[in-house]
Amino acid sequence: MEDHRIGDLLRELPRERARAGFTPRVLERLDSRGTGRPALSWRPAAVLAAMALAVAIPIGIRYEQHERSEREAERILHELRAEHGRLEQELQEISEPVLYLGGDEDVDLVLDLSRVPEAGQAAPAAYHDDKL
Amino acid sequence: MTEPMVLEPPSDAELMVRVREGDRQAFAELVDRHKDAVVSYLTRLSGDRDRAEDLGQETFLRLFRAAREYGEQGYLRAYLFRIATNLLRSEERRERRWRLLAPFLHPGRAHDEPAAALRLLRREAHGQVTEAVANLPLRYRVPLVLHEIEGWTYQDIAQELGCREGTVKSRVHRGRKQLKEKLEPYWNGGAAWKTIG
Repeated sequence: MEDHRIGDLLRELPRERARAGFTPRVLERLDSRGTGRPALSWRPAAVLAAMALAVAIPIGIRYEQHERSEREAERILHELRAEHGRLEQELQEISEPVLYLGGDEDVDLVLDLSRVPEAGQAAPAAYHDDKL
Repeated sequence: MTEPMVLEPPSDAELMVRVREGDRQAFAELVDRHKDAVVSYLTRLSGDRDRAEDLGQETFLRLFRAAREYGEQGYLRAYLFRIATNLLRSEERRERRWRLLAPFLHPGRAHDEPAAALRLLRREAHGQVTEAVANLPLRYRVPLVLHEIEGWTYQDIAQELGCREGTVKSRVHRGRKQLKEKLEPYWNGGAAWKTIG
C-alpha cells in the first residue's frame, strides 16, 4: 500500500454534518445551565453512587461477619456451660469416696466405701477365730 | 436606479464581540456557521457519530462561557477545534480510568441488490478507515486528521498545538505509518481482514 493512499483514504471519508436541531439543542443546554438549574449530568451522580456502594458494601459485609462470629461464640459458650453442668452433676452423684483397688485393662476394682458396714459391724481382716 | 446593498454577513470576530455582551442571536449564528465542521472533525477523531454530536454541543457551550477570555486572532475555527480536542482528550482519559471502550462507527448493511454492492463495499472501507483512525493515539490522531482531512498546513497545526513544525511532521508521519500497518492486511486481503457490523 503506497503512502499517498493513506491520505487518499482519509480524504475519501464522507464529511459529516450536524444533525437537524443542533443549534436549538445548544441553546437549550445553555439555558438549563444559565438559569441556575444545573443540567444534571449522570456522570457525577453515577460516580457518587458507585463510591457510596464501594463504602457501604464492605461495611455491610463486615457487619454480617461480626454478627455471625458473635452468634458462633454464643453457641460455643452455651455448649461449654452445658458440658460443665453435666460434669458438675456427675461429680455431685459421686457423693461418697471410693477406693481404687487396682485392675487391668478390662476391669477396674473399686471399693465403694458407702457400702462398707460400720466399723463395729465388720470383723477386722486380721481377726482369727480362736476356735479354729 | 441604485443597486441594492448586499450586506456582508458579520465576521466571526464581530459576532464574538456581540457574544461577549451576551447576544444569543450572535451566538446561534456562530453555531450555525461552524457546527458541521466541528461535528465532522469530532467524528473523525472519535469514530463515533453520536459522541461527536454531544461533544460538539459542549464545544460551543465552552465557547460561550469563554467568550470574555477569547482573544481574536483571526481564526475562530481553530479555537473551536482546540476546545473540541481537549474535550475529547478529557473524556478518553476518564474512559480509560473506567475501562470503557469507545464505540466504533458501524456502517449499516445495504440490501442485496447488485447496484448496492459498490455502496456496501465503499461503506465497509470507510468503516475500516474510521475505526483505524479512532484507535490511533490522540497525539498522532489530531495532527493527522487536521492535516489530511481538514487540510491544515504543518505551520498552522504547529501553532495550534503549541509545538514545532518538525514535531507535527513527525507525528503525521507516524500516524500515517500506523494506519498503513492496520489497513494493509485488509486492503491486500491478508489474514487480519475482517468485516464489521
